[in-house]
Amino acid sequence: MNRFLYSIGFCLSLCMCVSCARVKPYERQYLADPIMELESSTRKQSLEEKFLSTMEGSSGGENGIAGGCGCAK
Amino acid sequence: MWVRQITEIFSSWLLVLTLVLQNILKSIYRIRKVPFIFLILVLFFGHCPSPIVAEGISYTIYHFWDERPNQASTEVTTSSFSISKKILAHTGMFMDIELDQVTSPPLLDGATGASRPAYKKEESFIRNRGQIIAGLEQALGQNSTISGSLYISQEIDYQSFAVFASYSQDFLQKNLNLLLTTSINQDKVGYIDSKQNFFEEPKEKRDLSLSVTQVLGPTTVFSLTGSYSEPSGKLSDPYRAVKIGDQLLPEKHPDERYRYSVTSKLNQYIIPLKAATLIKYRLYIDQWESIRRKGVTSHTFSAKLNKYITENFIFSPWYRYYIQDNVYFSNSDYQYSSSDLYYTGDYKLQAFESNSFGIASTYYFRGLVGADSDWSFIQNASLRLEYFRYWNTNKFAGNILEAGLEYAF
Repeated sequence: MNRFLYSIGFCLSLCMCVSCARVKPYERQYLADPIMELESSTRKQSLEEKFLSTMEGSSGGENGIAGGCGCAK
Repeated sequence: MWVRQITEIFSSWLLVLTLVLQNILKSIYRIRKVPFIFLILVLFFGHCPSPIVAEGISYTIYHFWDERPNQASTEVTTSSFSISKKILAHTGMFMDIELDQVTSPPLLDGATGASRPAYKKEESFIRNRGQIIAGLEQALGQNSTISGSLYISQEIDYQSFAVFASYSQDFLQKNLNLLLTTSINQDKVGYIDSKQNFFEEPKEKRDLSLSVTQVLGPTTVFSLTGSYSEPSGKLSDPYRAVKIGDQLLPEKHPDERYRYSVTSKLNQYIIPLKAATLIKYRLYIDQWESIRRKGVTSHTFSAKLNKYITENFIFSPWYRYYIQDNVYFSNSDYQYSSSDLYYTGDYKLQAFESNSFGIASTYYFRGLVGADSDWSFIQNASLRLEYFRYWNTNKFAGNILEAGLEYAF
């Protein structure tokens, strides 16, 4: 459990350290490119998560909507 | 006012979908029908102003089949239809309909295989599942949105109902985003015995997650998601059995589980290559029972490359590595003991490693026709194909083939 909390603390600290970067709206052409997948669909995430959660003991960490059973295993 | 508008939108969707279904076979043989159908779609959806959600319609089909030693494959075929559309000046809605069909081979030893009613264990079994997700997203000013959705799924011996809500807030000229998501699931886990009697037990799940996404530069984005999930109730598979000594007994799991995860993602655009790399790491820890006994700890690392081969064609190879340890009550050789309260036949609670490798391609139809063509509407369409293979150290492998067609409004 401590390792989990340390990891959160480390990542949040890293995020805070770099949060001074400012990118103007006209500098976002690469960020808006579809290959950056910044707006990947919620549905898509839930399908991947659904298949992998039937094969592994872990789940979570994505914002997709998932539930139900449909157990393949 | 709201109710009336939403009712109108739903009834119009049903009309359009009915027309599409009625005409789809004819369209294969009389191709001129296709622009007519799309004209209806465009006329209906074209009256709304600019979106807050990515507006579009998509159809995706997945086929999964597994490989296990000395056993026929379990196969899963999933069809998914999604639509998202702005319906008012600051309101969008989305809907997803999904149908699964799971085909399971006869059981060899009664202790493995896909979940199925006990009276079907000696023959192939087909399980169907339907799912609907419908939700609304509302913009609150320039920098924040809220959304809510309902989830319902139904199969012969499993029901699930869930409510989802999220709040998104942009800061620092949209360089920093916070996303808070929560959900509550109410499931009913059913069991059909060898005499076809039906029993069911409740299962609940509460989830909470917070994502922080930070733009690090014109080509770099970093995000961090922390999530907590608390399933409780019937957490074991009622059909799965465990060999204990000489007896085959139903598995029994604790009825409380606490799941934590932290996921970090780094998206980097590489300008000279016209490509982007997506690197992800997830740490997952869970605990069981109210006294928080040791569960599974896992690490997941994945990397993906999205590369423009031409202006309209993207090629995307990816790799994922996963490793987990075992839950405290898992054992490969149970011996009967009055001190053992819990038994599991679930290999997902044992220690193992897995690898996945996939290739995907996306083709945008925008390069095929000019803007003044009768077929110019297909400029907004794209086709996606993906194959990925999964294998782990428990002698289990799975394959997934995906094809999807998307149309952006």
